[in-house]
Amino acid sequence: MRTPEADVPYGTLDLIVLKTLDAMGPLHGYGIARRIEQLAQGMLALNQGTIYPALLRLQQKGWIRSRWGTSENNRRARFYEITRAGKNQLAVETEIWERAVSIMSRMLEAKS
Amino acid sequence: MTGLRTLIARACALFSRRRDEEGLAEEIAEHLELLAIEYRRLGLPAADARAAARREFGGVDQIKERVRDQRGFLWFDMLRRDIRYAVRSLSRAPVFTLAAVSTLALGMGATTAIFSVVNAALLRPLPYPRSQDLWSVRTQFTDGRVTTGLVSPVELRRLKDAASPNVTVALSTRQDLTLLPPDGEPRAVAASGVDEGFFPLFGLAPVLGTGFPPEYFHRNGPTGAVISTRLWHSAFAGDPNIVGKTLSLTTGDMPILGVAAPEMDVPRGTDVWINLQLNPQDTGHALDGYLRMLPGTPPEMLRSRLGGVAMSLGRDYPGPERNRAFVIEPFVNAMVGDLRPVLIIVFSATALLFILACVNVANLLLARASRRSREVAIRAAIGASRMRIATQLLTESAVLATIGTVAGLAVSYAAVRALLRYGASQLPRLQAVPFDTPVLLFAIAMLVVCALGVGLVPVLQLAGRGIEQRLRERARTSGGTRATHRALRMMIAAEVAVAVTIVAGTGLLVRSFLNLQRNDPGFVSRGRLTFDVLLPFQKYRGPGVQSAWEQTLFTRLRHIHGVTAVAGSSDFPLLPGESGSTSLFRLDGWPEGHEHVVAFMHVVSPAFFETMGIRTLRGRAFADYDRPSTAPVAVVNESFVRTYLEGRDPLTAQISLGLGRVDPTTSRAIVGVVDDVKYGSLWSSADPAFYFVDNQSGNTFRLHVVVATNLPDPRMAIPEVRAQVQMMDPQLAFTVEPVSGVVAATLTRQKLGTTLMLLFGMVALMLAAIGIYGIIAYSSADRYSEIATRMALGATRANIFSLLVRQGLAVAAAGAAIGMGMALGAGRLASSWLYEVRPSDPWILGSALAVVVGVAVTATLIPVGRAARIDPAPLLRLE
Repeated sequence: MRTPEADVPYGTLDLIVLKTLDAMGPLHGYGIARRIEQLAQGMLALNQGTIYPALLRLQQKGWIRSRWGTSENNRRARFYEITRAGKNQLAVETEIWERAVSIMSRMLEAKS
Repeated sequence: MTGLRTLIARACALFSRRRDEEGLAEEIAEHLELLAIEYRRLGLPAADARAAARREFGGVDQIKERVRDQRGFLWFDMLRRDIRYAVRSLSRAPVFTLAAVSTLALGMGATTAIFSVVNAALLRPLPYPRSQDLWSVRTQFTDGRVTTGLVSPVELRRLKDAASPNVTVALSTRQDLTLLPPDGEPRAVAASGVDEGFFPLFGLAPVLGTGFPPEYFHRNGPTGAVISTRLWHSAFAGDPNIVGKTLSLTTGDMPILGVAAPEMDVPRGTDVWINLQLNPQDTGHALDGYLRMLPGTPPEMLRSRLGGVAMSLGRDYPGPERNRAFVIEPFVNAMVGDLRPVLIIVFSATALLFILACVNVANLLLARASRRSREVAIRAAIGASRMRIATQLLTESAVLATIGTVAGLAVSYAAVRALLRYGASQLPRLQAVPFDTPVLLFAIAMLVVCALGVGLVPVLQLAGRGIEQRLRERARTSGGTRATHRALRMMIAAEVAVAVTIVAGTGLLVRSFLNLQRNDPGFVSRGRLTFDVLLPFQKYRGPGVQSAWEQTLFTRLRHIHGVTAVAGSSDFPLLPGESGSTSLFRLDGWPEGHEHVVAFMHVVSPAFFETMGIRTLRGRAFADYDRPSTAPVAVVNESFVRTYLEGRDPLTAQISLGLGRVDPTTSRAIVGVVDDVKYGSLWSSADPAFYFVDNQSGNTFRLHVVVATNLPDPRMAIPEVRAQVQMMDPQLAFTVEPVSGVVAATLTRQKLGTTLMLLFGMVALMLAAIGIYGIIAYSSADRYSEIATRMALGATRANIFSLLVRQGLAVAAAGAAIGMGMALGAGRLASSWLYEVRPSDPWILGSALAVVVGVAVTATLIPVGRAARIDPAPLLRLE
């Protein structure tokens, strides 16, 4: 049976993007979107465009920075890169997320 | 922290909009291109690959919009769009915009102008350090005896002993001097004697010099002067080495010890301060008192302590001090005096005027809103939220209010200049009316109140209703909702109520002013001139020198063409600071140890009563045969007889000065009773007073001269009068003015207040008329289809007419009733400022009511008449 595509849970796209940049180093928007799709293996319904508001949001918070570079297509593209503050934030949020997940799974697994 | 960073990033983005936008477009284009390349690699033809890329990417424009929202401030962007839209839609309706803006400008301008005057006079702190701790102190008898209210040196000493450490006390007394500048004409300068505590109390350091050294206040110490910055510039050209130079006065020279700070202006208008050497045992009340409290001293504590001091003074000096109490008042109030109620009354009137202007604009907006009902419905139908529509409508009101405020500021600036030119600048604290921060803040507050209050009206009307309901309405036949009509009725009632209040208030003030002006001061001012000179005593010392000089002067003046009589006096009625002093007196027949009684004492030349047109009621006036060698005589006024000679024949009474038993060698026979003359002010009743003739009394150095003429305009005689006086003594400084000018000057503030109220009353009436007309015109036009239906069902034009008029008048009557209540309340609040008018005066209230209702009826009849004349057929066909 095919797993139904889930929407990206609200607020998690930022964390996913941050994690991707942390793992992969500088990437342009298309690269980030591809990478997320690869990892999700078709389980996430993601309009690739939705990463752009997220990227701006992260930049405004100072967790990533961007500069113009050249794409594999040999054209101008904006490359994004995680900052030190972003790395710290990623660590914090990963921990929060893991704790939430472990609590949730305990709740859901608990036999009544 | 990150919240702040986001804020800063967003704020920066406001300025890099174009570059960001291009960058985003490029970035997305590249993304799509890379995605399409991927699909082509999977074997799709180019066109399909591009389509697939777009599908996977999502709506390009929606994404861009979301990035834009994230980038700047959403509300800022929307605000910008709303403002642009508002300006466009306002400029499409120029008549509406002009009407609304000019109404607002008028209301805002008047209110801001009056506020800036209130601010300058009442709210602006005095220029002294910690001026809120400054108080003025006066004295008062608790048993109703008259007193000038001044303070004595004995009281000062006791206050200083008892008051410390919380309070410091200082005194000053007005003197007048004639300055002989190094070059130029002699000029009168206002001088004040001050005690040791005076300058430290006000706390302003002198510009030059150190002020008075302590030994100047010891008995028989030297005398010196501190001059004002004003005098330093006008008479000494700002000489930087002025300290130590000589101040030449007709009374002698004294060294200049310093130049006071430019802000130093106590007592008001003083140009020269001279050190006083007070006798601490002196019980004469001749000084103005000032107090400075340590910060945080509660006034009640000060009052109770002053009460204690007064008690002990009464025990120790039973004559002059018994039943005397101290009265303190914040110094700023003492300075502004009775200008305060005038300003408060006028300011309340402008606030009402502002409300009227707002109601009118709200009503204009409402009428406009009903015409825009469909526009709003369409906007709602294509997806605008209620919030968005409300914001848009509010923005339009705010734009309107802003333009109105800017225009209003211009109006208020012009109005304040006009007020100052009209004579307000002579009033205390109004030499300059600054356009400062409080005034600006006030204007902004009004703007906000107006934009919200006025702007909410169309919002409630339009944004509140559902889309379907509005789309179903047909623009032409839409009857406004029940709520709209209720709002309109309330507005008519408010207009009428406010107009009645302002018009009735205007009526009360005008009546009061006319009463004051018609008030008989006890003398005739028409055809008379007055001037006063200060005679330097060194020059006029010696027995009879001054009298002889006066005789010669009077004779010369009497020979001027048109002059009928000339007289002199020690003081002059209604002249501020020159309206007489009190003196202790006794009447024969009073028991030994009778309480200390004072009355006003005036020393006049024999022809004074005749020259001033003061009626002699009993006995005789003074005559030339009352000489030093003849029996001394006195004349008293009617109020003196009423107070002290009740039940006695006044012409048999003897009066003498001072305490103790009546000394037959100094007592005088009362030979006449004259009419009461109002010396203090036109609105207070005359105090008991007695007159001595100058031949039989010590000379006073200040001589007030009154010249009666039979000229149509007494000012014609001024040049000749001046020339004669200057020939007598070229060192005298004086100004000749008509007596009517002296009387009018006492009414400056009342005249100002009344003129302003008259102006406001007329503007209010006009605004109310326009407003009521607009509302009735709008609401009856709104009911055309209803009227047509009624006519189709058999109503006659007369039926329709009376229906509409009745409905209109019912509302106006309700408004009028509220207005009467408001007028009564306002009148009661202002009653202390009204002269011989009751706030409930039926004539004034009745005529105010008649005028406003008349205007309301006229404003109702015109549009109603038009509505009753409509032809129902075409309207019904349209339905």
